[in-house]
Amino acid sequence: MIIPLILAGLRAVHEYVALHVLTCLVPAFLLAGAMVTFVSKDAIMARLGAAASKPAAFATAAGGSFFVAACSCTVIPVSSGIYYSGAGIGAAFVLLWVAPASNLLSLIYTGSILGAQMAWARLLMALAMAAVVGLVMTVVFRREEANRATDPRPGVPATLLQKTSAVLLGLIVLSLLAPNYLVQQGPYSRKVLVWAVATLLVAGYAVWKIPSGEIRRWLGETWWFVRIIFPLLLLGVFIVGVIGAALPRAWIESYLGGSGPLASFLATMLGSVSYFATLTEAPFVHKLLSLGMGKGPALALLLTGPGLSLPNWLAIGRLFGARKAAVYVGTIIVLGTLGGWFTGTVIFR
Amino acid sequence: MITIEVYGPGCAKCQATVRTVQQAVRTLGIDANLTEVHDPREMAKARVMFTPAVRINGELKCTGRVPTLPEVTNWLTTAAAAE
Repeated sequence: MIIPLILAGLRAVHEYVALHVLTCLVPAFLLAGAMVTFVSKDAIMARLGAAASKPAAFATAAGGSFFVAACSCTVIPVSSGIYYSGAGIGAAFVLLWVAPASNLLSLIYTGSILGAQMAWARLLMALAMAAVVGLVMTVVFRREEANRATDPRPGVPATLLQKTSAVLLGLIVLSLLAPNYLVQQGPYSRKVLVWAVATLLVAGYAVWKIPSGEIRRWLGETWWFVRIIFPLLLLGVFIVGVIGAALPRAWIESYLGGSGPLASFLATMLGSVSYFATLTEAPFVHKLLSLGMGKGPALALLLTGPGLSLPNWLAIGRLFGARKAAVYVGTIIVLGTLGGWFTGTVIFR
Repeated sequence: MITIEVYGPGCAKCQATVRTVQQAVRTLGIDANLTEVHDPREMAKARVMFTPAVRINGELKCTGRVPTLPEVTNWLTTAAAAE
């Protein structure tokens, strides 16, 4: 009983490693490392801190978090940091939600594994949910907000991204997109070829324009991502492989298939409770889709997976207080369910 | 006595930072008091947002990355010279 399950899990890992490591993961890790190294954190914080009026604060929070390659654990100190240094509660929670749910890295990666439509749906739904979350938090805690001394300190405006680093980031994005979009069919070796050309381009440009010290830091950060994320990723793929073998396809189809509210709710709960490190959610969802999961619920899982987890609820509760954590988690669960249901019935028909 | 604070929730990078700082302190053979700060509220108070972060004698030296050994050694020698 147990051995076939383990074998199924290992088969899933094997398949994933064979088909995704070179053309999806290597560029994704390089992109993650580049974002950490080259995107100026001071510039993001300055923009977040300076935003005073509410709509502007939400927009900067959402826009700034687009450049933070992070899972829910990394973004918590950032969010509490801007909150305690004077940003509104709405902006703090918008950041908390958007950074893991849809940043540049996870969107591009989602697109290369699950297709462009899913990436767009993920972006738009994440932003829509962010607006509602920000609003709900602002309205529910308005009295507390009024009493809190809010003096957003205008930061020193800094350049978000040097021009040369922006080009490098663009090239890495290209090396992640090109193999998966240009080569839709044919043998895998063709994808590898496209990947190799694009990667040579990245390497060539880096050597030509980027100082060697920064290249070293970039590769170092990339290596950190590989060391921390890669084992979790393999574990995730292994678990779905086991799930696929253990549960009859009919079960997954009846509980997570279609686009009904129940399927979306279950997918949302699965995503909200369990911990997904950044990048791990896409292959997990990919596997579940092939086992019969509906696209609406898949989107709900993609959004809540990296954005929320049980350890994350506790951390938010400790930092912001239990009431704020409860309101936040409740809002996300309701929105995730509605969002999955809505996109499943309206967009992915 | 130099006061060193390393801020981080306990992630792998934060542990690496602590190890780097410890190694620098040992190599220099200086008298230093190293504390690890895990509480996010303390981080917010110190205006630390990206972890890991290192503070030496109350001055924020780096945030959001693991500093290299030469860097830390450099900060510590400067701090020791100022005492």
